[in-house]
Amino acid sequence: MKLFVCLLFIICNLVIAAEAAPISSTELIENADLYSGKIVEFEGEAIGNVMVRGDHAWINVKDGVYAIGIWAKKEQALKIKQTGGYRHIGDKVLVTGTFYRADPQQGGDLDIRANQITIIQKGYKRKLTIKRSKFIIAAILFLACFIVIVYPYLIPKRKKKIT
Amino acid sequence: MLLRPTNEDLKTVAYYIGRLIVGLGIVFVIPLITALIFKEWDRAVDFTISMLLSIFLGVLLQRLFPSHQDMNWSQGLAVTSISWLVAMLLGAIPLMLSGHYLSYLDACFDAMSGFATTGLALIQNLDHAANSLNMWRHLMMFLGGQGIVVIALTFLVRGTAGAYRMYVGEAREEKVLPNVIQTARFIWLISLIYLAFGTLVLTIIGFLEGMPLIQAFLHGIWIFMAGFDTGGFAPMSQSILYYHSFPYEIATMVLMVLGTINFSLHYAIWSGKFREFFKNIEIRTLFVSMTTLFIITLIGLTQLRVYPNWIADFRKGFYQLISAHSGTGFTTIYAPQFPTEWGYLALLMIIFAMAFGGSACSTAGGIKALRIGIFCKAFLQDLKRIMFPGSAVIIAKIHHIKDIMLEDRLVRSAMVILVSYIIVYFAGTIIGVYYGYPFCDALFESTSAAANVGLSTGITAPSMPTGLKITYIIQMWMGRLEFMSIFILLGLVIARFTGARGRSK
Repeated sequence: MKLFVCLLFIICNLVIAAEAAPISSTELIENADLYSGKIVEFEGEAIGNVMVRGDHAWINVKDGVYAIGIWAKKEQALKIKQTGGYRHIGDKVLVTGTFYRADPQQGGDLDIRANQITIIQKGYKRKLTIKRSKFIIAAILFLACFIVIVYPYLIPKRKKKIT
Repeated sequence: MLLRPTNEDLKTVAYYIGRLIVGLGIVFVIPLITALIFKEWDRAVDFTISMLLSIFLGVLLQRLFPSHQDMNWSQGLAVTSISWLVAMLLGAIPLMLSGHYLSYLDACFDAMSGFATTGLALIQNLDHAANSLNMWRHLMMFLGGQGIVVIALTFLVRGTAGAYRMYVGEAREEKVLPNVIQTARFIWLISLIYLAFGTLVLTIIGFLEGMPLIQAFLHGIWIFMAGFDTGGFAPMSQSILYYHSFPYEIATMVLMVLGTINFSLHYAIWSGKFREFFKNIEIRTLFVSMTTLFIITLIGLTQLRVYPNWIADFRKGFYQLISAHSGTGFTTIYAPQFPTEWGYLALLMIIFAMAFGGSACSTAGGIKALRIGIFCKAFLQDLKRIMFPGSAVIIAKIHHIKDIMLEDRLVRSAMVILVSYIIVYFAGTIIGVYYGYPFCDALFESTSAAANVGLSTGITAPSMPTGLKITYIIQMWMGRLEFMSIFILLGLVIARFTGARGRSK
């Protein structure tokens, strides 16, 4: 009996843990009807800009496949200090909120109205390096261009024979 | 009997392709300057390599095949069709070097998609792309929308008969002004004026919607280029949905409509002939087509209760429809939402809208409203012939800038292109189905590629089969050039091996 109770306890905890795990964007978009109106957790990188609109703001969060719009209170949204772009990897955030397949207040956008935004990893600067081989290729091409453009001017033109 | 192209013919073709390649090389200066301004040094090196390689190849071709001949019809059309392939190969180099693509084929796919103003994309990690890379992606659309040859005509080729032949090869039979060079310059003038105004409007909206000024400006210029040239690339992976902004949607809808209007009509309106707008067969056809398709789309969406209210129906339904009909490909929904939520009726209307396309001599793709209008008029004329007494003389006219008699020759040429498009739409569908995609999705994607639209059900992805990538590249190329110059190119290749010796005029 004790063993049975223990197993039940473990299984219940596993189920709760599975439910609490963040849902992927693919799962949300492809099964939008299933999740619409429910509270979900979504995790990903904040990309682009935090776009403040009055006392709220839009953030777009990408989990690697799709980016989903997050409609949040301004003070929640402004917790995000770094958004992803060319030079930076944005803050990784965990969003808890109500998912809408077609949000009636936002013109039918598929979005999440955030209750809580938690920064789980700070954004950082990307390491951008240039391959040395690219410089060599550029130099060779520059030389090739120079030769092909200047070459005809280096060869003396043949004078036409007057007959 | 086909005449075998001589070595002199091939030299002329190679020489003019060389000139166009040099022109493309010079254009790389724009993203290069962008890279330098924003200190994107790695991208600056990429664009330098691309520029130098293009100039080297272009000059080399001109040196190896010097020609002072004017082009004949087949040469002019061959130069155009080959130039687009060469532009794709060279335009893909900075894309590939950026590290955002899995393979050179993927980069070529995006380059052709850009030049042909399609908008289907295989780029990875777009949200972390450099400003200069986005500048190049959108510039390709702007150049392709105006026409690569139009650029060359404006800056590189003097007013010759050969210039007109290249211009026609780029699916632009109409001359807005009497001279083809003046026409090319007018197309540029009109586009640059709209560019300035459109960028300003989008920058203001972007700024008011919470974007930093510089970002709002860059997004403004890019979205303008992709919108007015009915291209459909966007700087963010969510396309227009990224902005979550109704004013931005309205502004892009206006751009898409402007882009889909015939340049001749732009000229007529600029010249104060406002009545032309209401009389023109293309505008009438577009109006009837868009209204009908939107009503049926709306029925499809409301039947399935896809959206919660009328505002959402309009913002989602009408936006995707305008985007499809104009051949742009901007979207405010996710690609999988088309097959999973929209239902067959609404999806079918989007496919029809993509297949019909915008106006002739515009930046839009597809069959074109002029040809649909001619087909409908000819159909009505034939019905009248059956119903009226045999002695009755049935005369039909269309109004496009001027009154034009509906002759059999006109109907035939419209029908040839119309049927060619339908064949290409279905050929791509068959290949899509062969690779295991559902029929409806395959038809949607094939139509989107061949009509240079760019909307997707999710098939277009880096993981899609190589054969399908090549199919869509060919479809985009054929769709943009409207077949004739490609048929001529194929004819020349065949004639090279089987044709009789002689000199073509």
